[in-house]
Amino acid sequence: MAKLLAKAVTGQSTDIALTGAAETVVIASQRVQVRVATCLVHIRAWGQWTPGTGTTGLTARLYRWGTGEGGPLGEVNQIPRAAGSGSTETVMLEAVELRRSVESVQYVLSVEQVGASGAGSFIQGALEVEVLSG
Amino acid sequence: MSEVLEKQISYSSGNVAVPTTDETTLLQSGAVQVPVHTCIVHVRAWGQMTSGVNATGITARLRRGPDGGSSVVGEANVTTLAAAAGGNEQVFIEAVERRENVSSVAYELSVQQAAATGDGTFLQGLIEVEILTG
Repeated sequence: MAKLLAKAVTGQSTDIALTGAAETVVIASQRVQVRVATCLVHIRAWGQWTPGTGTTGLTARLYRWGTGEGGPLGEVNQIPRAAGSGSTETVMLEAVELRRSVESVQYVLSVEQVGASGAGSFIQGALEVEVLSG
Repeated sequence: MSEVLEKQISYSSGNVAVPTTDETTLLQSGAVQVPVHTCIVHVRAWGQMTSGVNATGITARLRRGPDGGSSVVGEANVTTLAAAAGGNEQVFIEAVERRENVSSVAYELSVQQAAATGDGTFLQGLIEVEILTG
């Protein structure tokens, strides 16, 4: 049975501008120590955002620390907006991966507006990292 | 290393009326003991509700329990309805905060409809409180 070995949760309530259709890192997790050779890592992200002009959807991604390291975890899918202009939207994304021979893990959440010609805003969110026995 | 020291989940499936645009408390975590001087608290709430006539959005809030002064944790943003008024909606909100010098903590979930002229109904939901080393 998998056991929860460590967990960190990072909250974010400072507004972050989402410029046009550029990918923007909006939350970075704390570094979570790993005391075993092999572990499962469960990452869960939630947030609220306000779309910019022309936005039709949002693509969220989870990365190991830094967007250039190892590519996004899981799949990268566009999710259409739920509501009309001026709305506040919700984003949720999870991933699980096996890590070996690491002393710690750290992740970031990025979001990218689809079809946007104007700036949106990421207004609050949370990023959870759970390290489980693998 | 971050660790989960305590965790509590309260679930309710009793329908609760959400009068027009009144803020209505729906879920209470109850007291969760804090065994350390300083900790990180992660609060997460999920629920399903039926919106009332003419509702256009829902604001979910997490508040400290009565002993914590009922202050809002995180932000209170109106989320636009995903379906037409009278449809079923999901409510999801999270927050993270640091607490010091408390022997226990308690949190509540409230919701408030925007522009509703009819009562909504909260159908089911839960609130989770995790105490992590801070």
